[in-house]
Amino acid sequence: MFIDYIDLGSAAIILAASGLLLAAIYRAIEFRRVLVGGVYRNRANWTIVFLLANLFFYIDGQAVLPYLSSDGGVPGFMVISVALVLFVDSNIRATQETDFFHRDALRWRVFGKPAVIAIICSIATVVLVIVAVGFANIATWGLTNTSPWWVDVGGFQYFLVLGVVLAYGAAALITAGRRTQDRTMRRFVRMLGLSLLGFVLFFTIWIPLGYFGNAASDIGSEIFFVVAAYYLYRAVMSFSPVGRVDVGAGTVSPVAVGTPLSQSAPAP
Amino acid sequence: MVSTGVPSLDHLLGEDGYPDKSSILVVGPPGIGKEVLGYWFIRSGLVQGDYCLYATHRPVSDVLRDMKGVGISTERVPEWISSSGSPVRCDLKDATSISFNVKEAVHRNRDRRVRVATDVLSPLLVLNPVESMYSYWSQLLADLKQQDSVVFALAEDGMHSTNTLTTMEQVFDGVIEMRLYEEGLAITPLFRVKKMLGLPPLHGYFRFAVSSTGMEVVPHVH
Repeated sequence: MFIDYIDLGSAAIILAASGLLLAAIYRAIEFRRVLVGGVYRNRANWTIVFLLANLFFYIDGQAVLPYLSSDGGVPGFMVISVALVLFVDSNIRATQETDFFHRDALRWRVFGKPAVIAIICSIATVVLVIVAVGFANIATWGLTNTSPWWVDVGGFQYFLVLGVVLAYGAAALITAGRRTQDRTMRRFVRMLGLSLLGFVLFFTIWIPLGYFGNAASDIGSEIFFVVAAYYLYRAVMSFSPVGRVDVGAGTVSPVAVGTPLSQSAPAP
Repeated sequence: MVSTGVPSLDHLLGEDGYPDKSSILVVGPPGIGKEVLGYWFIRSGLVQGDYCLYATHRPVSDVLRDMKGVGISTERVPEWISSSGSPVRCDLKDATSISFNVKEAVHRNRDRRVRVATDVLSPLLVLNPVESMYSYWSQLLADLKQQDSVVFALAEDGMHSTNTLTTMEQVFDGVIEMRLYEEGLAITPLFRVKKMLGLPPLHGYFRFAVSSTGMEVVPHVH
């Protein structure tokens, strides 16, 4: 019997990445349920949205006719971008909360709102370009050699604005992470950084690997997606220190509970 | 005894809550709900007519927003020592002034029962050597106990070494630990009463839940 090891490897990677993302989503939902602080719940909320977006993006990439890379996928791609910015924003706010002096890292509180407005304006520009492309009867609005300059500018400005906002957000997150005394929060920022590094490698490594032009090159780049998903899971698990119940102390003595010292039986 | 503001916790601690003239330390990671215990403690005091003081490194507006978020009415508020929004300012770099202001406020109300809640322990521990903080808190709590007062302090888990926290736990009459625990795939918030003046050791874990209608504490069976 012939076994296609490349297909097998590819399937294993898809399963591993999806499994890790699903596990991270489940854990994030659990944290959202048990955490009380508004800032921390908000962080859990946006992390869930970010993880769902990642899962959708990944599964969509495996499809024969991917939605996100089609013309019709523009709204979905932009929703994911906005979710990414709000995810970064919620993490910066949670990190600032654990800084006793509540310092505004790189003035993110001032910069945050204009950043979101800039992204919304940028999205509006892209939508206008798409509408104009329809009126101008141009075959595609994509960044091709044949597209007019205003279509190129309309597309590039979005990536430029998103890139600047995310780069600034990452710098603010690192600054806030360095200021906090909370070791768990520092670990979270570290794990998130490693995860983002994995995503960056996933996005960039396929360019040189693409010269090989076979499924093995896809596996080479997708391994980095698995690494990124793994560190995302670790980042979610760094929302708060999680212990294990000491089974020896896991049951409650009905005698000891609520009984003043003078009336109690000897402690078990 | 002084009510905790959470009936199920009062029951757990022997029907009436925290012991008179005691100091309680609540240890837990950020966002788990330590402050909520403090809010209910203060709220209960305000309802009973006690003098209540809240010393915090946060702005008053943040604390009030948090209180509303967990369903605590802010019609009646305690006296504040805070980083902003109060007549008396809380300057973390000046531990002496915080101690002076707390003692002064408590002394002014010596004819009433007093409740003090504070979250400044962790910042002060980060900014000062543990030896000096041990003396500082020992002295402050001893002075406050000269009057009919109960002090409720919060400490952030994960910001101090185990040795530092263990040292500070010695200073307090009661220590409650709040943490998240992993049970299979689920994550459960539990707390333990590590020690409490006048009570035998309370073995085991207690599950707690915070909602807009209050806080509930029930024994957790593993």
